[in-house]
Amino acid sequence: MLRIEIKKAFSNKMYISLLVIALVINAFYNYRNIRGTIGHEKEDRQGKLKIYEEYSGVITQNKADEVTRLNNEAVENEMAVSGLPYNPDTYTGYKYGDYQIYMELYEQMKYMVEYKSFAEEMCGIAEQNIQRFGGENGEYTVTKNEIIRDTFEGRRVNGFSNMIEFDELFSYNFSSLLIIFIAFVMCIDAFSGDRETKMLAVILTTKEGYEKRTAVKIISRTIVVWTFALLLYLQETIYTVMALHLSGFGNKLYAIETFQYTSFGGPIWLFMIINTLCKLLGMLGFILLFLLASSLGKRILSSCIYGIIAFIGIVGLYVFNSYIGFVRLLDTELNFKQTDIIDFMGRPYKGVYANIVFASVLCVAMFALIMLIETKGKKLFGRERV
Amino acid sequence: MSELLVENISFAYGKKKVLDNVSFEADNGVIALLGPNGAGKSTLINIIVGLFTPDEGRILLGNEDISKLGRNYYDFIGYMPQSPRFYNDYTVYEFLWYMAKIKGLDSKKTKERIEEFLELVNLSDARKKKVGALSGGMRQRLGIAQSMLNNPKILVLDEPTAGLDPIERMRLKNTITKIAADRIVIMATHIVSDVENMANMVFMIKEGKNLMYDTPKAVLESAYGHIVYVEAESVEELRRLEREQTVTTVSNGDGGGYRVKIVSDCKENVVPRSDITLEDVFAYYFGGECVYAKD
Repeated sequence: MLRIEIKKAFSNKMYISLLVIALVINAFYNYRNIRGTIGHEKEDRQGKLKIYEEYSGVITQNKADEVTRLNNEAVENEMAVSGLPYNPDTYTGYKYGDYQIYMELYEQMKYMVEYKSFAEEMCGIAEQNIQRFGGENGEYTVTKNEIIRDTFEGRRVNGFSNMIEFDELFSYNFSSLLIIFIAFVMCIDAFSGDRETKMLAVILTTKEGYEKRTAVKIISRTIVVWTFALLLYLQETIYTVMALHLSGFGNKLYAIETFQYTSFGGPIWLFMIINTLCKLLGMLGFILLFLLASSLGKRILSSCIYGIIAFIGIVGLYVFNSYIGFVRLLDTELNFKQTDIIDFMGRPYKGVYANIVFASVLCVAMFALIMLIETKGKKLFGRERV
Repeated sequence: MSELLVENISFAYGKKKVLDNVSFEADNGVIALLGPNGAGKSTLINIIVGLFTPDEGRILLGNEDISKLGRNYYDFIGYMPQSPRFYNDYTVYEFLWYMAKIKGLDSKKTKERIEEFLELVNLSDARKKKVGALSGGMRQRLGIAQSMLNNPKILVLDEPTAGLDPIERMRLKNTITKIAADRIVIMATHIVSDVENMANMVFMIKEGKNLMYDTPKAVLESAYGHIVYVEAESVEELRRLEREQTVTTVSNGDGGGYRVKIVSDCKENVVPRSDITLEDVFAYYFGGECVYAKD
């Protein structure tokens, strides 16, 4: 039955049209963002890539010295070269352009070289706090600082590449909005639609339908929405990586300056997988929310209204407290840029973990509620629901 | 003992009792379930198809209590709800395939059965049509085809002829008659003329209680002496009759005016047995009190 439901969704022309439209909109939006970063001068961009390529890889003393020298030269002569004409012997076509890139490159390399000291400093401060609050009543502060110390302990950046443009990839959340909309369309009529078309009674009087209907509907919708979501995420990742020539996926996430304080200590490629899983969990929250609305509605129109109210409610909850619910999981930067510690029942927890736990609990609760309504709904809400 | 035994079924929505000690038994053939709206027909059907559990009573299928059969009971059941819309974006064939699969049929059997029942309900030429593009009658016939896919012992049809034009209605009635040869067909309707020539048994239900369960002939006979002819000279008089009496049929009179059948215990102008229809019976049992008779 699961296979049939999945096949049914994938052969639905409206769903496929929605996916195609979403892919086109996403590509357009993504392209517009990337164009802003790349700029319109092809030679500029090519020059930048060449310079970065030259200094990519393990940061050695020689490389650091050379980059420092180039930066000093750029700072000193920046104004003097600003009016110079086109020069084919430069990377970007202009000396001024090359200098701008050297300065940017220097700032990035400086950050990476100094990150080790920064991490040690963070550990030192945390250690001091542990010593200071180690007595009575200081348990919370001690644990909190232990988490901070353990997070930053031993951190250093070894490899250099142009990390700053990873921001383009990780700040892009537009696709999630599109997927939420697709999830709404695909889920909102899952149960109420069957009631409206009298299919519910037909399905419930079949052997498979009687046993598996509710679970199959939830699982099939989840699989299909997740597949669509993965396609969109994959689309924007491949396009961004290729368009910006991103490299250095083996570097730690904190090698990106905007993720200086991140709680995640693993490499970027692993972060991309974990981040996608977080987004899928967040999306599952929306899928179940809309399915719950569908389950509560006797007709498609009423479940649409419930779905919109529930959406506003969950966004409102996010505004009230971003850790409760699952909206935050869709925001990469908010979730992973900081090592935020939250207080839950008197104990400190990393914000991202707490959010994952809250979202999971909420998903399980919604799943259970849907199962309850759809299987025991006759008793709970009156027998006329069939 | 009969194949299907519905025994002392009672059911309530909260405090409102909608079925009170309902019983009947059935063998192969068409059982017409008659009653006005709100009589409890749909609830009884929901209990028979296993959607609702009765508060009291039991249903035996071949001596076995259906509550003990669990999910296996659905192997014996085919059900078509009232005015189904099904999935509009499926073709007729795809929809039947989907239904066959959720009824647990293997692929070989699915193909055979779909062909067989498309032929039976005369939808072979419409197999590639979208369900959303079918006429009301075609959709009802598709409903019957899907309900038959698992070759059920009991076929339950809720108002199958509602909203159909006369030709579609005739086609559907023929189909149901064919199907009922080797199974129990329970057909709920309030269009009594539909079951007159089809039903082997008529079960009448009123306010959730057994009213009568008998052959159509016996049911017709039960109204004898309670239906009389009266003449109405003008439209105004006819309207007065309709207001004050339970009118069953109006026809044009021989010398102008109207010949009207009304429910009455009057001994004059009694409608002869041969002229009594199930509609008259329906009006007699469900049409209200007769003011004329009291006078």
